[in-house]
Amino acid sequence: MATQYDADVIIIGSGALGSNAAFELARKGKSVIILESGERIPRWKILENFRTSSRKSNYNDPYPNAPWAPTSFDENYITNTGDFEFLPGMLRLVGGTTWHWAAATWRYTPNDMKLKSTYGVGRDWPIDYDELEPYYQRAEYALGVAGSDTDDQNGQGGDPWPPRSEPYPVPPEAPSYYYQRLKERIGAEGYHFIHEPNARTNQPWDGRPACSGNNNCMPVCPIGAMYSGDVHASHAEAAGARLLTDATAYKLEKGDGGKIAAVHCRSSNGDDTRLTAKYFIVAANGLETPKLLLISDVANSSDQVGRNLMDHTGMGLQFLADEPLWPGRGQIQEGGIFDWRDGDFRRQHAAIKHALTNKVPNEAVTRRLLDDLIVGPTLDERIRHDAARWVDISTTFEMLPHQSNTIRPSSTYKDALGIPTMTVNYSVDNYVKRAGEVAKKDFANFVRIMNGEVVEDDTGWQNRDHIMGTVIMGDTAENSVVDGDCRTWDHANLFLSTTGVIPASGVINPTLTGVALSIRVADTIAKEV
Amino acid sequence: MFPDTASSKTTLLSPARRLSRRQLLGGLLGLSAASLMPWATWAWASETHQVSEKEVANFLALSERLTGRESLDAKIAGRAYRVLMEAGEDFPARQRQLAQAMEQAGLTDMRKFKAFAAAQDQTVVDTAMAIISAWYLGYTGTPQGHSATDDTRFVTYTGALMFEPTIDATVIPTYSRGRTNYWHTPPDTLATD
Ligand SMILES: Cc1cc2nc3c(=O)[nH]c(=O)nc-3n(C[C@H](O)[C@H](O)[C@H](O)COP(=O)(O)OP(=O)(O)OC[C@H]3O[C@@H](n4cnc5c(N)ncnc54)[C@H](O)[C@@H]3O)c2cc1C
Repeated sequence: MATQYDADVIIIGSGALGSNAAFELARKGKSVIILESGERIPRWKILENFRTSSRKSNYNDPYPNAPWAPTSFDENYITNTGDFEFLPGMLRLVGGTTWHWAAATWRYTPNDMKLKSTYGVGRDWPIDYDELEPYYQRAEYALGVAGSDTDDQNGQGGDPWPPRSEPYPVPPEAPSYYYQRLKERIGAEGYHFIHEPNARTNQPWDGRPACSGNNNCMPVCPIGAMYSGDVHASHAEAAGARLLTDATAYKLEKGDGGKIAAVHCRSSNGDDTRLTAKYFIVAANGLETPKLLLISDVANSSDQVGRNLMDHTGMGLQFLADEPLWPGRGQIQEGGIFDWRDGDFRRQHAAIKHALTNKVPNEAVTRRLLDDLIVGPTLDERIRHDAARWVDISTTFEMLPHQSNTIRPSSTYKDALGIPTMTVNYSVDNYVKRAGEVAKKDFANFVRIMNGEVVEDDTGWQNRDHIMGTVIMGDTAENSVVDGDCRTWDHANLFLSTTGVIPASGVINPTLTGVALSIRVADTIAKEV
Repeated sequence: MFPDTASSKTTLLSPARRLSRRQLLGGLLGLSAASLMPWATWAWASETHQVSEKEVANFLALSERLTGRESLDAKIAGRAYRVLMEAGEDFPARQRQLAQAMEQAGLTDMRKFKAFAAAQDQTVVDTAMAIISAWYLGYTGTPQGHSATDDTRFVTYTGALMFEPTIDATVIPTYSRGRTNYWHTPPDTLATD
């Protein structure tokens, strides 16, 4: 008798990565079940939660934080043992964390993917850029990415780079006055400003409206111009996938022939369900994915699961320029300075990205003035003066994978479902510290050029919420968790759709690459199932 | 702009508010005509459910003086007063201490606040800043960026005074002021900013 399965493919996690894979499989006629530990929440509720929040700079706050599906800011979600307080802002609801990303959607470059062979550091990807390019294209169409077809994204002022088979689906939005002026003055000293490709569409796209500058990409776009994973969760359902909410996977069950036989999930009232499928995709993000593998004792013959944790750990600069620039008009990010994206220096230190933040700065401005006891009419005058001149630069660094940067199931804490939370050990290496010194020299230049008054130029290391390396991709079963197709070496029917597979971090935000890889996973599985 | 003279006191209150305050305070004003804030010696509620309209009105008057505004929103005042009390039940007493200190120092022009603050107990300064912060930022307490909980309390969003000085140039985030790409050009006021 033929084996009966609950679905062809079960996908764990309804974030941007899981949902894109689910949609691609469902539209090819495969039967798909998506398990999501959170609930589906309409945008207007999140928006109202934000507007009535007393901690608006806390980007997890407007989102549900249930004992059985806690966000990453919940107490004991992560216990840190390293010298850096690693704590990204991960969410638990249909659509996942991209509800409050900023939708920067860069591609890696060919050199990013061959770091070891080009510069002798870190690791190479087992696949190259040409292999990924068609999937980047499909991912950009899925997300409605606005981008420049003429920029050299290596930041050297050369020909358009990296290579593209087709133009960006949406043209770039107009640069703000703030961006234009900084580019004019800082660019005059040779720094290259590059438009940030982004999924904050400025033309109607796939049912989403054009951005109208509500300036709240993080923590919630009020109009849904900015892409979030719920778009494809809904598309997947419309194409026939079944989405089960309040369903937290806590165990992958091994079956015959090295295959995964079933997934066990638990609901908030404690009910357990066992579901079988021909294929499984774990798309529970770069932290929850390795945790699930480790507590299930699967896919770890290499002992690499949960190691090599990389964020684009960063630092920041804020200063007051000598002229009114009026940040806060338009989208909260627009692009930045890319001179340190690629070059021979990567043998010595990490690549560096300086991104301009274009957020309405009134809260930061006002808090600073209040701290200085500035009140009354002077306060009102200064708020206008300083808000017009506020420059905020968010800098990120390339990371190298290290065995000692780990995420492990906690041996102390459990969530309300009885599932262990996490322990993270993370520190920043000298490759990054050397780049930090270079970035600080840039900071001094930016301040000098803009004749600025420094507000903060020594923030220490900061989280950037890009989780990579934790289920690393490689070319042998001994040194990696998945192969170049995101298939686990140990289990032929288990794939991982997460930025956690990324073996060389580059300096650009990783999610577009994750979506491209997920679409590719769906193509691979669709051929086999 | 606000000369520190007796006549300037009235400029802090709109005619309508002056009337309602007179009604509210009734004969008491007469008892202490020279007093800026006669209620500074009254008894206060010790729990939020006891808060009276009078207390909120008095908090509003003090808030208007501290922020240099003539007509703050009474509903927001009610919320701010209650959350400040929630954050510290001694708030009414501290507010009274502040009002008395301001009265003694004759502080009406908030441009002179720093000099005033330098001569006061830290608690007086903290109380003043707690009230001013609540109005400007729209919350009380200190937000924690990476925690599910902190000691903040919501007061107002669109009513937060920090948005007033720039409202013609930038948005209150989540609201929109124009169409796609409006941001390409600077605000009209650029030359005088
Ligand atoms: C503030 C912020 C800004 C960011 N900005 C950018 C940016 O501009 N560009 C960029 O590229 N990236 C950005 N990122 C990173 C980006 O959000 C992530 O890379 C992206 O969300 C990863 O998608 P995912 O689908 O893998 O995981 P997620 O979006 O986290 O989705 C995973 C889903 O799985 C569910 N889940 C987890 N565990 C289980 C389980 N055991 N069982 C069932 N379901 C489970 C979760 O509830 C969640 O819905 C940002 C992140 C943050 C926090």
